[in-house]
Amino acid sequence: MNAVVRRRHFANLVSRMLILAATLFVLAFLVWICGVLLYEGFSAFKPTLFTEMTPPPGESGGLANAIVGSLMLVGVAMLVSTPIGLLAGTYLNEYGKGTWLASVVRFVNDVLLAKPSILAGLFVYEIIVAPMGGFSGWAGSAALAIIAIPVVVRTTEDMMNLVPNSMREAAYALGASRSRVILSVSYRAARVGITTGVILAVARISGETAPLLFTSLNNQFWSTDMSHSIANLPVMIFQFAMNPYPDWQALAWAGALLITLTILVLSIISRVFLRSANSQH
Amino acid sequence: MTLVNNRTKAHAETAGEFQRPPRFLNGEAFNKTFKWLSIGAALFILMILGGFFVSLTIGAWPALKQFGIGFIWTSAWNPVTEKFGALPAIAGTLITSAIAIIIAVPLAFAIAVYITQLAPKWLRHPLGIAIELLAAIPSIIYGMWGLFYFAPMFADYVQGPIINLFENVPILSTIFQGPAIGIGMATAGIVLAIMILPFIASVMRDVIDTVPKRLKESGFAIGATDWEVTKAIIIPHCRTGLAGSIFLGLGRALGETMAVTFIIGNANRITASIFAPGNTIASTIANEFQEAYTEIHSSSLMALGLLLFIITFIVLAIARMMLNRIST
Amino acid sequence: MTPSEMLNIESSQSTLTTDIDITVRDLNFYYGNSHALKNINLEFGKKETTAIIGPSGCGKSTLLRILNRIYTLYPGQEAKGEIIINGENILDPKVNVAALRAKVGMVFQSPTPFPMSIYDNIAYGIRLYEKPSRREMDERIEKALRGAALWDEVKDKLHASGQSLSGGQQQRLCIARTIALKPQVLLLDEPTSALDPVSTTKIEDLLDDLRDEYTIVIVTHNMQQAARVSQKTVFMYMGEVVEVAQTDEMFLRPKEERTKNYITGRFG
Repeated sequence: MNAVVRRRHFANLVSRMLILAATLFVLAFLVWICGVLLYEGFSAFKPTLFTEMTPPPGESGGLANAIVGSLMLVGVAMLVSTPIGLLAGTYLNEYGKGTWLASVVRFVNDVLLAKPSILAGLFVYEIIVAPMGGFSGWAGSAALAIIAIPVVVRTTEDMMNLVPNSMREAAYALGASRSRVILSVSYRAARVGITTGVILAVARISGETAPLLFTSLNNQFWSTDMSHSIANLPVMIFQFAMNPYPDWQALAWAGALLITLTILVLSIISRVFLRSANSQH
Repeated sequence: MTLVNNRTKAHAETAGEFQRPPRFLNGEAFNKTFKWLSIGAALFILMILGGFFVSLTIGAWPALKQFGIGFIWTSAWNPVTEKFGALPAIAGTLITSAIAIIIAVPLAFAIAVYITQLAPKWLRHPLGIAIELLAAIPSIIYGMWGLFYFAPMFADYVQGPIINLFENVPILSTIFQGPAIGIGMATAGIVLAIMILPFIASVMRDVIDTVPKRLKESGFAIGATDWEVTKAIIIPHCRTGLAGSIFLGLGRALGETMAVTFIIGNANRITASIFAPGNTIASTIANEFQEAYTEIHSSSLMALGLLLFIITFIVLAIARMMLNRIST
Repeated sequence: MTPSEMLNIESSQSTLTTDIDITVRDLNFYYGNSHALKNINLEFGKKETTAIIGPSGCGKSTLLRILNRIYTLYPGQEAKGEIIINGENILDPKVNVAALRAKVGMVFQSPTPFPMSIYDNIAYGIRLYEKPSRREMDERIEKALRGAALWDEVKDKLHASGQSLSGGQQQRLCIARTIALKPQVLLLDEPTSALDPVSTTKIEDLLDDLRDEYTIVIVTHNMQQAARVSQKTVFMYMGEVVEVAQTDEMFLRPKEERTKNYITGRFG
């Protein structure tokens, strides 16, 4: 081996080691974070989490009202954002393909996809909370819906794009109208992928805290009234974690673990779905 | 092949003109309605963006009227005297994001290269999934970990020694000025870095995956090493895409609220030390919004939101343009 | 008009005796700026099978896709001229394309079963226009499947996915789906090019049976197939109709030099 080759191989070896070291370094941090979450979360875990209310300081309690509130906020947000996102994605792939409007909408949607979520909270505060004179579950759901819509739009477009055009042509050749082709052929062929988009959107909004601070806020008590502030896990975690009471901090960790596990399960489910969606085509 | 006898009258009804009335769902009325619903939904996406801008501007208006454009470079932030300026928050945002990007980008690139080029085949897929799952963990978790675990350790094992080390070095002694309390802008920047790392890494991985196989193979075919192929083929080929993923990560760092709010220390002043507590735009809003009782205070917070909107819009637009260029 | 075109008309007039179902007059077709079909004049006989042959890119599929106006799905494509079916010019913008397509059915190159059950694949088209009772629907579906020579193979699994069938069965399902609408014309765009020889034979046998019921236009790159299934053959080249003749006439005694060259395999 001459000197040049030796030097090149040395450089290669060094770069490989550095890259490996960097990867291990980062993974160590991430393992640390997950380990802390699992340890703290499971130490605070107890069945009464699901049956008792969030307690006043110094007393024991659970997360029942926050869990129910979160489910309601996310549920309403998805009821709103799914049809809007589905239709907008439909426009991008079926009606607007190649048009100027579609490229603008696609670009704006991509920007919205990455916009800081706190802005959605401020926006909804201005248009709903301030005019209505108070924090409410509806406002919280609206803020979450604004974050979820771009996710649904993006996946819907991508997934409908996988539907072979020959299948659409075949439906047109039977005399189906465009809307009919979309509803019964494109949606049907892309249904797994579109469902994945909705699941991903749920995963995306379940842990969102910042937008809820200005919209639904929190509530220590049992409440299913969406027209007032409503308990929810993320804001509860924030408030309890920032307080010095150990009981509250423990509940915050338990809530954090609950949310993270939910999100991980949803992400894994969507991955499995996506794999089957891709293998169909 | 046997065919059926009733075929013979198959055609009885086909004579006549093209006027078979379609059923409702296949009819023109429904067809038009559905089309307009879709267009409406697409326009709604544009309205959301427009709505952000208009509503934030309206909310920020009283503050903008009172402080004018000087709001941006005024460093006072005092709810008691009702003097508000955005400079501390802007500075905090830029400093923490800069720290985050400086740390995260090389590490994220290393991970992306490892996953796409170096890792054993069986490990690539699971590792990629793990990174993507980590990117989905809500930011509040990073904030809690930062507050309860990272900050104390950082104070004892990193901040303290560094402060002592540079005690007598000019400039550095100012940048790394004590006390070692753990929370502050440096901590926030590092936690942000760890939070955006999986995100940037997975975007970079997707970008690197777009390098055509034959391009890499032709590199290896002349005997280039992994590193030489990375340096001479992958990096030049994906320059724009890699830059795009950095901007995407920057966009996230600039507007991140929860991970930062826990650990930045909530101090509205500007110091030269990165170990000092500070505030970002997002953390100021999150910390003070519910306590803003005067109109000018909440309006100033809205003005901060408007600033954040404009900054992130520019950053994300650049990111998108760069990333779209490679996908087409 | 070029001499060859004069010749076409002559030959079609002299050899065809059946009623005319589709008349194509002075048809020109443009993809944006490219002139894909030039002055096409053709007649398709009622309940007769016409094959369109020619080298790839000659415009044969384009012609087929004008007959049910499926080309209008894509912007930038334009047809000029007249196509008369049942006394109406179907290129008239006022024509309801959905109703036209129900009457002029089409089967594509690769099988395109919808992502639903075999039963629903066929019911889909029917439901676009009618709301038959459950019993009536069952009968229509059985009739369509029998008509496409598929009934015996699928009668026990009507609710299995249409995509679970073999390629040849899928294509026959697509034919069943089309004839369930009781069309007048069947357009087939290289219907066997994606199939194995056994399935191809089955489809060709089926086409033979369908001939008495429908006006069939089949585009094919396979001359043996054209010879086997059609009564009349159209040879196209570079966007023009070069020759139209009774099928056996064309293959035995082509009048045009270009036809002869193509048939004997000198090009294409």
